[in-house]
Amino acid sequence: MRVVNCGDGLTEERTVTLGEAQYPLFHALLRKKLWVGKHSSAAWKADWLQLRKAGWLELSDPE
Amino acid sequence: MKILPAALPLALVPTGFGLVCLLPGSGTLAVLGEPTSGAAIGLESTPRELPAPLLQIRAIGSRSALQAKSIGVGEPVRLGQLLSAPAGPSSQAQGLIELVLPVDPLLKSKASPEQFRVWYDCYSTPDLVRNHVRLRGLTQFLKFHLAEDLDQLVLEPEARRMLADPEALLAEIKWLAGHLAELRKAPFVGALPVVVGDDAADFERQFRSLGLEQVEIARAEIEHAFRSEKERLVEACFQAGLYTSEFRTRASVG
Repeated sequence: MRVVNCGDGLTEERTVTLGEAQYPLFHALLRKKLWVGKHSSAAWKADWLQLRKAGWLELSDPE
Repeated sequence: MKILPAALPLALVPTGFGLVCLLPGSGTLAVLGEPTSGAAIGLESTPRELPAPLLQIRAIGSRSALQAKSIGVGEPVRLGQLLSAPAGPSSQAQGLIELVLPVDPLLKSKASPEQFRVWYDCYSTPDLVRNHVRLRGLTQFLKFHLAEDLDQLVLEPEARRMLADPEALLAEIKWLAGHLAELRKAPFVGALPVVVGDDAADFERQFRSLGLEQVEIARAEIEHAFRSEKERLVEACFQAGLYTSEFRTRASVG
């Protein structure tokens, strides 16, 4: 949303709607952002460390 | 290559992957090559010339000459075990550090930033992160064991070569950290594709294979890409008049 001064003594709240059909890249990024956010949460990291400690993951130590 | 004086109290341990041997009281730190390869990397310096970490190790080695310990990367290794260990593939079971990248630039501590950049541009961000983590891990390993009675380090050849030039090692770590920070600012540089048409399952599979530090980078890259695309689209829509007016109110005075 953006507030615009119309020059006639009024301001106007203008909203842009980004539909998936018109903006597939935006929505693809949005889905990835939500998914990555979910899979990099503190709980997810705790599970990751537990798996690594149990030997299920062979990855570099994040220190 | 440095030829060590035969009179020095030098112990060769035939582990098959070389060792770092500290020579008590000699003022010399020697980094030895594989006994079977014939290739040796030597470093001999006065205390004034030695960089701080190696100087500290040398001092500890001198203090504990009568209680020598051998410490392998990953797990402690007793000297007796090393002496009886056969050379060859069995050494792989000792949890040696595996570096992703070649370490030749480490021996060129005066390499310019451009040279480092050309070198590292050949590698993906995850490889850079992995190498950075391992280089830092190597320095932390050394610092941690400085408090121990450390006389010998058993290292794989690449790590041994890095220790032959600690100034270059520190310079490389510093440069890598800066380079990674730059990469974090730039969009679309990660290993994970963020374009339309990505197969979601493939994306998730790749993400799940990342380490924690790589996860942070991937998340930052995707959030950056999302913000950039959102700002670009919103601005384009406003400029094109593709917006809805939901509320008009009197402008505040001032």
